[in-house]
Amino acid sequence: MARILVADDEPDLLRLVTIRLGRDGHEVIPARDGGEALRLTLEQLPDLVLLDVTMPVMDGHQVCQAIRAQLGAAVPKIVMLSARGQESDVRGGWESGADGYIVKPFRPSALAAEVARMLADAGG
Amino acid sequence: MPAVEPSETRAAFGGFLDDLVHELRTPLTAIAGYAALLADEAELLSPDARHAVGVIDAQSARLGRQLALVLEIARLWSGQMVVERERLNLAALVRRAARSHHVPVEAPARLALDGDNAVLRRAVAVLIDNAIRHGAPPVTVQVWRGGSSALVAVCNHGSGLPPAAVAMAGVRPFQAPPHDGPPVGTGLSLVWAAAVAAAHHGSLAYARADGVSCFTLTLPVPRRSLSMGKTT
Repeated sequence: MARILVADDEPDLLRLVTIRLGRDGHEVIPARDGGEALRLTLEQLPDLVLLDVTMPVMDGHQVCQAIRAQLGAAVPKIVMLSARGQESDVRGGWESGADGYIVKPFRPSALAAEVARMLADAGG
Repeated sequence: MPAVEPSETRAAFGGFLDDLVHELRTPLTAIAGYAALLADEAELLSPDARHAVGVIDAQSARLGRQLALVLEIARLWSGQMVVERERLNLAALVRRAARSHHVPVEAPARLALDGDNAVLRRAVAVLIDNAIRHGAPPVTVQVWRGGSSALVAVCNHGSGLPPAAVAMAGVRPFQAPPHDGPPVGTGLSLVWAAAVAAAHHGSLAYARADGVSCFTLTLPVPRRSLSMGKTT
């Protein structure tokens, strides 16, 4: 099982993702804003990072770019979570360096499936 | 204070709706997500609690679909969603939209139009679905050219819209009369279809005559296009 950093400034959504991923046996590292997400990622080097796009301190795009800049080849897979799902929004996610982009509202089972796919990719 | 054009008002309102829908998606994710977590443990719940979770799950999914539709309306109104302008055969497009509903289509072999194939096909499908669900058989579809316009009429033999809903059809949501069963629908899909027509510089109109109710999509045709032949 994996160590996954989940960053969201909405406590209910943070808890929702934590519960669902916990059911699959993953260890979740919670972060409540972009600054905390970056700090914890650099300190704890999780296997996967799930980033809400709209967060205080740093937004998801800024966190994604900073992780990539500072970890280089050791960068984990990064997935963006956002309520904005237009083509330009998703393209913005790719341009920031994200490996995946999930649009809210998402079903917890769909999120868990995407996490499993990302972890399999990272392992392969 | 400068005068505000109605189109500018609609564009500004579209921008507001766009922001609002995104704000609503976060609480909807929480409501639907926690219902799904409970549904995963349904065997631990009482029958009433299982039913409650099922209702929350189904209604939040419905709300999600409606919000997606409102988002598209907002983007069409505000100009953020620009429809494609490809040369297409409207007659063939309507036949494809009607095929899965097994509804007869009277149309020429070809009627050229510049528009968004996928979006227009969805709009025609919405009108057919609306006629089947809220009207009464037979449901028919006609495509023809009238002057500089292409027209698509989707008709049914139901009791038609109640007088209070006629002015709202395609403009704002309303509760449609059912063909059978309790009242359903919000008219939101008709608002979307009208927004699609407007984005193509066309319109959507409702009319009832001789016991037949029709929604007619009117779209401008390119100047140099000609309709050829007529098939059923």
